Amino acid sequence: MTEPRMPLHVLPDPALEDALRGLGSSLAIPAVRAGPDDPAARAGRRIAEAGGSLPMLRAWRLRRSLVLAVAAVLVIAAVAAAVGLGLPGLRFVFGDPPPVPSTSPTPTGPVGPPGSGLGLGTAVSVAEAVRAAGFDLRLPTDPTVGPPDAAYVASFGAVSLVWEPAPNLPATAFGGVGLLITEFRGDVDEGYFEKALHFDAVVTRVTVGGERGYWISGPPHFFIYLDPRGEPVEDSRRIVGDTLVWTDGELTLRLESALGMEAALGLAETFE
Amino acid sequence: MTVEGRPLEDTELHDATLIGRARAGEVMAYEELVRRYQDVAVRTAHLLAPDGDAEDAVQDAFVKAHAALPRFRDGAPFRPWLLRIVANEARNRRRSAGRRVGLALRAAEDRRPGDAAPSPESAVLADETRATLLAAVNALRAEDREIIAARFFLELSEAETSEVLGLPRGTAKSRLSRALGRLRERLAVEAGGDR
Repeated sequence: MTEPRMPLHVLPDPALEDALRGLGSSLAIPAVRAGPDDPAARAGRRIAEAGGSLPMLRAWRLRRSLVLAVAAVLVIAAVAAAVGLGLPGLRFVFGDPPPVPSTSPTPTGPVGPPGSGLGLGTAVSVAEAVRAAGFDLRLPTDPTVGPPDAAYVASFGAVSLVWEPAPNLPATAFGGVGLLITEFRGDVDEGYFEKALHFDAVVTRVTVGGERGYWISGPPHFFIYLDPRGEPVEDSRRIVGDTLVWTDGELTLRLESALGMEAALGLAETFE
Repeated sequence: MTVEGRPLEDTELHDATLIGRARAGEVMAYEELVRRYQDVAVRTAHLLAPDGDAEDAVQDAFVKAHAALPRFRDGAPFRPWLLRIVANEARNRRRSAGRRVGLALRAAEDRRPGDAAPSPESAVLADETRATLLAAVNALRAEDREIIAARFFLELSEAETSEVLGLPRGTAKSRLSRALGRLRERLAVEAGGDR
């Protein structure tokens, strides 16, 4: 239905203002997609390059040296202290709640192989990942999981394997990802991953194949990789959900999924 | 980088937490703080200097705002404070580019890939009406256009509008009223002078 057309200049104020609001919402304005190259991230890199990032990392690292004994289950309340714990090549840092992005969810369109956009590194074939790893990749032997759908090699040596969601691999918060496994040698590289955990995160000590590990659940946490100089590797930084981390010989492995602890542990036990 | 389906916390409380962490040197916290506002920041920059690269202006403004963070008044709303810095950056770019007007706001019918999708409410405005209104707004001088853009295109409150444009509240109010008056005059001319 068409409303009778009244010339714009004689519209009453509220109607003219509504027309302006309508015009505003129809203007072609470049859309911003939140991500590693958005204005916030680019500004952050410039600030960090100018030396702005270091106070927090230094402060956290100092406090981290006050390593406390790890209880079977650590429920960290909002106390002004950090607890250092980790596995080879992996350290956890507790802090204030990681900021929850207010922007749109990860695009799920056909933009690349599953897991692209997560900053996992260069997409390669699984065979190439095996060659590039420099170590024996561990893969789940659970026949219901099958081979990975995508593989990535990061500049800092970590290999990531991604499975699309499947009936036995419920989708995670990241579009198109049902299971993400990252493997790296924590003992040879002076760099390390750092998990910045929410104070409300629940860290449960577990064993996988007789070796130690942790199940991290609760609010999403940051996962970043720091190079040997302690500088965060920008591309490695992202927000992740429930994660199982454990060691297998010289390797540190992390498994991210929506499986829950029991199923994640069961799957981890099948890695060979 | 994002998580779906998580309710936002109280905005100002959350901002205050991030501001505290950013002041303590945590760049990641600062990034997340400004990322909350980068959509409106890019809109602001684009509306004030549409020929420039809005994302670059916003990036520069974010770096400047970080340096200015120690001067941010605790408890004040962060969004208009940040947008003022964005607005200043965009205006400076417009001026230094030597473009007095050069306004090139486009309607969404000639959208390019990557532009935000028009909202359903924009559909209620007939194309012809929209084109007329857009031409009239584009023909206004910068001062009038800015306040109309802030109030109706960015949908800022009166208080936010005055802060973002750096005007006393009363001045912003009277300037808006005069800008709307001049817009009506333009529209009347377009309509054939039957005022």
